[in-house]
Amino acid sequence: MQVVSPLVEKMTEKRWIRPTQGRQGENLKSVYLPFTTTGIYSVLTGKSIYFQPDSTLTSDKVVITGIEFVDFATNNTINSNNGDRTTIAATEATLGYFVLSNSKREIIAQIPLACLILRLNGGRPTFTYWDDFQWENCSIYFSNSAGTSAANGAWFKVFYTTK
Amino acid sequence: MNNLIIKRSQIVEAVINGAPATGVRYYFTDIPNLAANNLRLYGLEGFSSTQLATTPTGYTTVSTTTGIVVTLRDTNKVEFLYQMPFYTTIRANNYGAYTILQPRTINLTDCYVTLTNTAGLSASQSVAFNLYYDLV
Repeated sequence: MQVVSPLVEKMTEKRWIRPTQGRQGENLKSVYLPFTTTGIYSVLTGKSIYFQPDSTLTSDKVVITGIEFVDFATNNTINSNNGDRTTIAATEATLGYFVLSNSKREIIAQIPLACLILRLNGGRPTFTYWDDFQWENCSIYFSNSAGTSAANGAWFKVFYTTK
Repeated sequence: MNNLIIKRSQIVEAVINGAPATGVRYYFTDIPNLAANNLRLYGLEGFSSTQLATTPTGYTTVSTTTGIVVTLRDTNKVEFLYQMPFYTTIRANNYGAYTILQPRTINLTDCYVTLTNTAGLSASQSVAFNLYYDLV
């Protein structure tokens, strides 16, 4: 018999906590932001770099159940449609934010990139439950872009389940 | 063992105004969005300069984490989290485990950090957190 406290039961029902074991049954999509010298992917201090619309990551189809940021020490190169890019080092990730927004452009969550690096958090995944979001309204930005250039790119692993 | 699920988050901070001093309460900067009665705070995560170099408002985060404690008060002025070491709120120091709280409504401007040791701290540095909450 498993004894579960009423508080844990309530928080589990509300989807505020979940067991730390793996991500059974979840799907994964890698999303890249290959930086450029000019244009929408150029990196400037304080400038939001928005994700492109994604036919999979729409909140009428999926719930985002987790997100991870892949840093240089985890995997050093992105092979994107815009060419290869070097991933961002953890020290530079401390200068960046991931911003999740909904269709009204309300900011639902704002998380420092370095907090999303799996290897720096004991291998424990970052769980989310985002069922109301607009992927093309989500973005990243850097409070200081000095260490980031067009040779770099941002790599996110987005975990999701279908609705 | 359970870990936190992020549904909504808000970065908050308490800025060290003036020369750092022990025994002084450095209150959190107000975030009106967090004053909603239907808001339930259920977790938090501290940030040092290893996680976040600069807060959204432009303050530099603290790099020394061992001389800081945080106190949270709810809307009934109950100090439900009293002098918790800032170090232990940092997820990376806990093998990825978040600090999970019994859900409640907080009064952010009543919450504060105090310093138990000022070594390594400077004026205008920020003690920053992400608060995790939901609307019920």
